[in-house]
Amino acid sequence: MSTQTAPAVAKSDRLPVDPAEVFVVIPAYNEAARIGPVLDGLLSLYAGLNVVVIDDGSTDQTAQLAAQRGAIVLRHVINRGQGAALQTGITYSLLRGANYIVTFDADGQHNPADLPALLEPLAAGKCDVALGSRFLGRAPDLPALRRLLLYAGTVFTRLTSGLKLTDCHNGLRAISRQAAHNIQLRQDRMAHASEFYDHIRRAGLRYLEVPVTIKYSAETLSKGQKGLNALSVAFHYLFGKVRG
Amino acid sequence: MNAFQIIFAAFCALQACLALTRFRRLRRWIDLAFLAVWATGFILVLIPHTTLAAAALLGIHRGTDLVLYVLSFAFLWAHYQHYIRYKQLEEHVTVLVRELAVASALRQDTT
Repeated sequence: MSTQTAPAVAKSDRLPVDPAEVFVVIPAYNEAARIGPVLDGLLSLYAGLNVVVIDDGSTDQTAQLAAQRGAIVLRHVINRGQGAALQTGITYSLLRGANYIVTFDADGQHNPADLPALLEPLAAGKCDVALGSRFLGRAPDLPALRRLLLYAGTVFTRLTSGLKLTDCHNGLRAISRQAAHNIQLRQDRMAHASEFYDHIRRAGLRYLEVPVTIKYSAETLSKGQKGLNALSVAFHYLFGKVRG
Repeated sequence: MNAFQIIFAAFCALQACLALTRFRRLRRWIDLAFLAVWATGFILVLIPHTTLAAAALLGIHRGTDLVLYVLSFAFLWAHYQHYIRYKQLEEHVTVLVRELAVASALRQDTT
């Protein structure tokens, strides 16, 4: 297992691999207001890309909108949480023969232009997992309190996972097919992000952090994790570790 | 002997008998534990001084304190066990939901 920071790769709209080999997994719960532009951004930049939206029991038009935009839509009949939806997307992508899997948020926080930088170290065989880092990249409009919380979360993650990370709970990441076989998320809800790092360590996967841009808006902040939720996430993660 | 002692002792005896009949079938550990709980309840309610003697043996001042400690511990243990069961059930539900989602998508892919 090794860690290092990937050299800054010039942002390119072209992927370093065949887009047909790439499956972008997007968990979505009641994201009808935001998912359209996210899918447009991805599919307009990268023709032939496989975009898999896991509608996690939404009560709005998320699934219909995603299907209209050309995404492959998987539907959870009831809400199971982001971790569960991600694992569903990963399982499906592997069954469909994905060589590279990118996890991407549905709320517009992630930048589709970051995909080449995430996939480049995987394609070059430099690592098995490329983790996006907003603190190596940019996070404009990140509120000070959220920044503090993320720093604390990063320290917690470094202590519990043993990985040398600069960011935590960043949903923008890319994994190779071989690595994806080693990742079986059991944490259905937000604690999956911490569990993800445990899988990297346990399987001895090589990982890199890649600078990415995370956009914050009042809308995404209101829907995102609250400060007190972090305690709940930490509890579920630690309980999951104890339970094994 | 007062009315409470009679009712509670009868209840404990009934439960102990039920645990004993279940013991023959399955979940021996749990049924054995329940048998012990009801048998203890039966003895304690009929001979209340037993708690005092047990408490003194453990260095606890009052018999009621001993009962309180034991009940607190039992409550936490039961809560933990139920939480584990609940999490297992949650995982099973997720697996089912995932199977449905993936199978449905793969079916659509082939049509």
